Amino acid sequence: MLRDQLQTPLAVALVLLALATWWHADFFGHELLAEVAIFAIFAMSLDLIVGYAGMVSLGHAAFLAVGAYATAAMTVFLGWPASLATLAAVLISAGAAALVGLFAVRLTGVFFIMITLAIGQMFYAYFFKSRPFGGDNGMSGITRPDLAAMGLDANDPVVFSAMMLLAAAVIYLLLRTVVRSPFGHMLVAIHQNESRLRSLGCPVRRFKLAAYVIAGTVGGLAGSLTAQHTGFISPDLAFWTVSGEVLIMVIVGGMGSLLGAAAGAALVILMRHQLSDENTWQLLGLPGVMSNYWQFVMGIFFVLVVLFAADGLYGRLSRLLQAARTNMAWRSRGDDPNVPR
Amino acid sequence: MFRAERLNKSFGSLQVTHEVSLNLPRGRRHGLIGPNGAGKTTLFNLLTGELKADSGRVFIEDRDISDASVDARARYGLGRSFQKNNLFAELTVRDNLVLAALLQQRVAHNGWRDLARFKSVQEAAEQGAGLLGLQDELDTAVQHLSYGTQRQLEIGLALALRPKVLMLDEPTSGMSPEETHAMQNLIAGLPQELTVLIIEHDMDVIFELAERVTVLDYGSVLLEGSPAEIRNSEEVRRKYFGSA
Repeated sequence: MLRDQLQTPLAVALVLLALATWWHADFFGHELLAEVAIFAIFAMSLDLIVGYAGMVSLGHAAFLAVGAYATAAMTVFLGWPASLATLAAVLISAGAAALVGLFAVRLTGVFFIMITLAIGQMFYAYFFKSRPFGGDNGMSGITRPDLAAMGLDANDPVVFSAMMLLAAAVIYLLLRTVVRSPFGHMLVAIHQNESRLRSLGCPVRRFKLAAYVIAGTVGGLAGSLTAQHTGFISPDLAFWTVSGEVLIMVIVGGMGSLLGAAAGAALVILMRHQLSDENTWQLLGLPGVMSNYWQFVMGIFFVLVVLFAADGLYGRLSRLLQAARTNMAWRSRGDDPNVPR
Repeated sequence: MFRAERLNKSFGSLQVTHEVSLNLPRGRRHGLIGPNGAGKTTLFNLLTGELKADSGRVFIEDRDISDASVDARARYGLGRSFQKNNLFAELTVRDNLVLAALLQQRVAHNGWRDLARFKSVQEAAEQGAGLLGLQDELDTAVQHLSYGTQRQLEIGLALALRPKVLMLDEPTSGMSPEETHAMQNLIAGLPQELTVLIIEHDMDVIFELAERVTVLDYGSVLLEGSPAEIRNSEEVRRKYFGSA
């Protein structure tokens, strides 16, 4: 059921890459790394419902915003420490996901996309209009956890990016446990043939709701971390383009693979960063004004991925690896004179 | 043991099921026949909960399941196969049987333990494959199996639930004579205490397997009797075989 052969090497590669980047990064590099780690968490949470259970949501940003706003409210209004606020934000996100899920999981396919989109936009509209949360201006002054007891300062980008990487690793391990469990396999089966699973006695809606709540909860955690990262929140966090962007991360990386989703998040964020930078284009010997068209270039990239690697980069890599292995096995059977028989 | 009382179902002004009652004691092999459009599959769907009856009750072991959902009825012991293969086509034979075993053993909701560690589930899947003669195909994706083998797995999935009642919707449809024969043997070899309700187009199959047969026509029960009685009924012959 799982494409396991690529999992371990890719996990090792991602960890090494993250550590190397962390070691060499400058101030801005750490900021970028923290953003990548947070969006890796966010993308993995979406992948659980999109890639495994086949529930394509265009409203996942709602939970990013709920987690962020809850964190802001707890730290700014109530003066709670960031760690406690994070916990509260995660619980509130779980509640919000349960509430939305109760309605959303009744629908499938395009109708599920539409209801998640609509509900996501309702969250956006609420935050946009809400006076206590600063309306369209959002809120600022969100604090980070106090790590003085460990002799560390979370406001140091080096420390914060390490925290975010650690959080991403923990979330990956937790979600991997879920997808490898009977419950995770049921989600894949729901994706494949919902009606047959029901006739085998599976209460499909309850399973979908549980998956939706897990995804929303982890999405809320990503939101809480985003708020702590930037120290500032705005209604834009809930806007549907954010949901669309994280969906693109999941599709580019490879639906149904947590590592693929994490890698997709890294790739999309780094590409956005590099392509919108004049220096990148000048290095390539092209006019720097090209950086104004970075979205156009991203669009072309996305079209290419969908055309030539419809199952994402993870799926494409995994098939290449399989082809290479088959080829090697074929050669070692004696068709290659270099191989001793 | 498995009972339906005066089921009715209409789609708009078209009544597709009219006052249909069935009563199957434990271990009964019961056939359901009727010309195309007689309402056989609709009746099946009313019994499994896929469709909701306008009126009438369904009981399994004196438990009223008339208002239960499809999945709840399955948990109460109602297993079914489908007329068209309805499997998890991209998954392997093993994965298909594992899904059913997880549900049968009530551990499907476990979200924290690795599936590979559920030994009894893996054993049940392998045992189920053995019963179907598919022990060598365990790791083959279902979509790569022959049509006839998929038909067998279709029943194997329902059996993996260890149901009290097994409902088979045209188990031999589209099969070659050899495959039909294999399927007949499979059905004949089912445990004695299992109650079986079969829709079948192939008269020879139904007359061989069933102890009693219900004939449906325009949504109503035309006749119920032993295979011999059905075979000799003038009325059935006229309606069903289209000859006077």
